[in-house]
Amino acid sequence: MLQLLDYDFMRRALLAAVMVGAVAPAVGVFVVQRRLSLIGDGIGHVALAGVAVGLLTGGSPTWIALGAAVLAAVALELVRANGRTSGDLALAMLFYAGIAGGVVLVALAPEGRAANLLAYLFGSINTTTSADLVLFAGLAVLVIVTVAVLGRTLYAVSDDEEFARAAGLPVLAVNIVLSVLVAATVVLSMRVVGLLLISALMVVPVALAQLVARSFAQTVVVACTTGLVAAVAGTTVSFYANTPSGGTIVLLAVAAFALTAVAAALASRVRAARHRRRHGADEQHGDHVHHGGHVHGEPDCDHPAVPHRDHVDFVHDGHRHAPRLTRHGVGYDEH
Amino acid sequence: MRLSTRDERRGAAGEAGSSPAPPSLFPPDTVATMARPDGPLLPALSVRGATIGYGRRPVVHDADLEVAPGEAVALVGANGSGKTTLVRGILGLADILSGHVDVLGEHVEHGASAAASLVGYVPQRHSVSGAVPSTAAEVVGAGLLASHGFWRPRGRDHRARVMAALAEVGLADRSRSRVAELSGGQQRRVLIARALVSDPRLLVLDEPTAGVDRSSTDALVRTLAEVKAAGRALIIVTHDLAQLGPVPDRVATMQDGSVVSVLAVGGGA
Repeated sequence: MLQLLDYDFMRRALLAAVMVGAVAPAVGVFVVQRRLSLIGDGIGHVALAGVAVGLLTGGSPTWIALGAAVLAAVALELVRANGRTSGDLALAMLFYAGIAGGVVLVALAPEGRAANLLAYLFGSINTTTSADLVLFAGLAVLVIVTVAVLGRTLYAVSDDEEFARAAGLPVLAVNIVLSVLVAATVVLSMRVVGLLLISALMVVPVALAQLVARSFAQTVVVACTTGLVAAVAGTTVSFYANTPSGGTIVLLAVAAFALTAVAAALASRVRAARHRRRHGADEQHGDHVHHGGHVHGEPDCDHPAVPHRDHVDFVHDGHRHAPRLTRHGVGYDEH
Repeated sequence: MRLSTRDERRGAAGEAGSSPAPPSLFPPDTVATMARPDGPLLPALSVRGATIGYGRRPVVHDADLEVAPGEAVALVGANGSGKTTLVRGILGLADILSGHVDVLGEHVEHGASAAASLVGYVPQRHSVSGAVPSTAAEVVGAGLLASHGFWRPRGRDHRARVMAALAEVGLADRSRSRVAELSGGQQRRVLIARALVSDPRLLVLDEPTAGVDRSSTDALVRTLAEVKAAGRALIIVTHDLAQLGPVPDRVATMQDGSVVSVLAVGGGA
């Protein structure tokens, strides 16, 4: 690690990794809650068009990408709010327009400049300059302050837009703020993980966190910690293993997710087995087995019967129960 | 019809896995504050000759409906009869093209939030759990944002109000539970607590019993009776009137965008 810190470019790279790793999941958690996990990719592709304009004109690709990403983010929300196009479809349109524009504009750029495109597509954290760091720090502070002040509002709107609107919250403005945060995070992340993996640091740490957290607040803390560790570890590994930083960071995050998923599944099985041993095989469904003292299908059962393949399910509290015989009587599987 | 006492209902709610004797957010004596100093009680909701729709397209025509504080009105009708549009008009989510919609004297307009703090909304959702884990307290806390100021830091009384709202629906002991781990009926009660936490005078519920089994519906109905007994007015959109038991005092029937009848059912839980 000390050897790593001997190099100026690695010190800058690690600082960028710390900022991106901690900030991207803090925005990603609201995006995942809104079920728009791929919004970062859509806006990232528009940022690509911005980068291409920068390469074509000789302007700053990062600043132009930021402008393009913010404009796209606002347009996306306005289309969702006012148009007849669904959020999903609007995102797809953005995705295609961005990448098509990027490809065409890069083809028009002088040959030497176009080669730089790879650094934006796949990430090139080692080429982070001091000027980049200043911009990244500004974006990181913007994102963190906004999430700290508006976090509960972002949560309320992401969780239930209809309720938020009825409660008088400024839903469109909040959605635009979230989209602009995504745009800022995209530009912050593009030099670190690359535009093609832009959503990974927003989404994968959140996917891991929701396996272990019990609350939204815990999810934010676990996701940001995971993102931070993955970004710093990935940058370090990429230095020693001579691998691309973006891919290494994302692979580490995905590996951490896979290990956590397996561990969570095993822990769940152990808990279920312990519960069965303690309470007997049939009580694993708790009150579902007894149903207040009746068996589904008996005359005193008022749960609607629904034919399902070769058996009949019973609608129970918003989900369906399929009967099966056990050595203690009738038990129910949830279908 | 014999009506259970408040204590009997609380006891029954406790047996259904709820906490006993929840403190009310809204003591019955505060109903008096709804009265004009020199006149009769203001209706919780007054819809007079209202035509409601989207843009220039009317969906509900010339609707009249009045709901008093502490009264529950069930809104029934076939799909497409205009129930949802009427409710959206009351919530300020649809355009009121002519006529008036007032909540406790506050004029409701599309997009205006003047009446929003007076109306609690429980949308129809089959599952409360989102893609990211949330606790019951976090979901309910979202209901405080509009009245508290969404940009302000959490007030000192935030947790107390959330707990009081959860207690009012009999879920004080589940505040730290993941909503995904609660039953369908308990999830609906969390949504009711989210609507109650801002202390609204009118509660609008969209199909609160849909997809909930009988035992959970019973607990839900007891909760609604408690809410009504505390002086709040209720509008309950439903396809299954029988499931609401004795809660509705009147039933408004909608057909082809019009309120065609409003009949007393003599429930009054």
